[in-house]
Amino acid sequence: MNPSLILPCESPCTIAAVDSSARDLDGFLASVERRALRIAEIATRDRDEALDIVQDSMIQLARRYAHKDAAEWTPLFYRILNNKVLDWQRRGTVRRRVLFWQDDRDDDQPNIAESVADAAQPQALDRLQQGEAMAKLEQALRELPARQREAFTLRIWEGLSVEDTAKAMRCSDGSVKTHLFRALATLREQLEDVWN
Amino acid sequence: MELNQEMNDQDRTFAQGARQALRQSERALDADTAARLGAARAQAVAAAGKPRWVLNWLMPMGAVAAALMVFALLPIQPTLTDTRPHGEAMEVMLDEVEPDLVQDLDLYVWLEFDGEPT
Repeated sequence: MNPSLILPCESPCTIAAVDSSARDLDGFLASVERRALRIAEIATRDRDEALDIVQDSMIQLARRYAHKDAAEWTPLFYRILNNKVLDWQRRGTVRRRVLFWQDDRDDDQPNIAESVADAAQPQALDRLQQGEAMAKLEQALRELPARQREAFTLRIWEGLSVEDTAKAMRCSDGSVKTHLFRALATLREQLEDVWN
Repeated sequence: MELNQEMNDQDRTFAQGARQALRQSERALDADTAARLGAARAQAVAAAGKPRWVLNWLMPMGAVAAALMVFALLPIQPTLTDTRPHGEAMEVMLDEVEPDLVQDLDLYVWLEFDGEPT
């Protein structure tokens, strides 16, 4: 329980309610934090960026949806997390375009995009040492279209029901099944030599 | 996880293997990363209390302050927006003056003017 949630003037009932709610929230976040980090890390290929994304997602869930029923937290949290990852990827796309433009403008300057990639390389290599199969799976997940990756992550990795996955993705149950079917087909094809 | 109805045997085998590998990778986090996750979680839980505090205390206080301001400004309003014509305002001013004085005002002016040395 975080002491900052207790206010000196609040009644014992209010304090007990806040205490219980904070404990529930803490327990929920503890149950999803590692998975969330790995999901973000696979997407960003950077642990620090992934940690930032997970922290932002946790805070957003806490601020906006802590008052909601705990059963709703899982799809809400993964929706927030996915949006944060997509935002990060969009910012990266803009950054790469700017860097590419700068590179074209001035050929004498050192290639900034390459130096950024080089700096990220040791961390990427560390993760690749987890095993060839895992590395290939991560790569294949990264290359999936965003919606297919989301369906696979929530349905297979997190183990959400079709209904909760649909809530998290803001789409119909049928769309979840379609995205998942396509994701599995692509992954199996790409990872045939490793996983079959 | 009810995957049986959604996929064939090959998909199911692949999905189970992938899930197992991905979940294993969660457990392989180092102590430093786990600590940073714990700190992030604590910060989020602390953040959850802030809006409730705002709702419980700041909003009622703001409403009271707004009401007090309205009451404080209301008495000033008529003096700020006196739209009566000037003649009417003059009548109000003369209410407190004796009528005889007003009637004989010309006489008093003449006497005062006449009394001065030329």
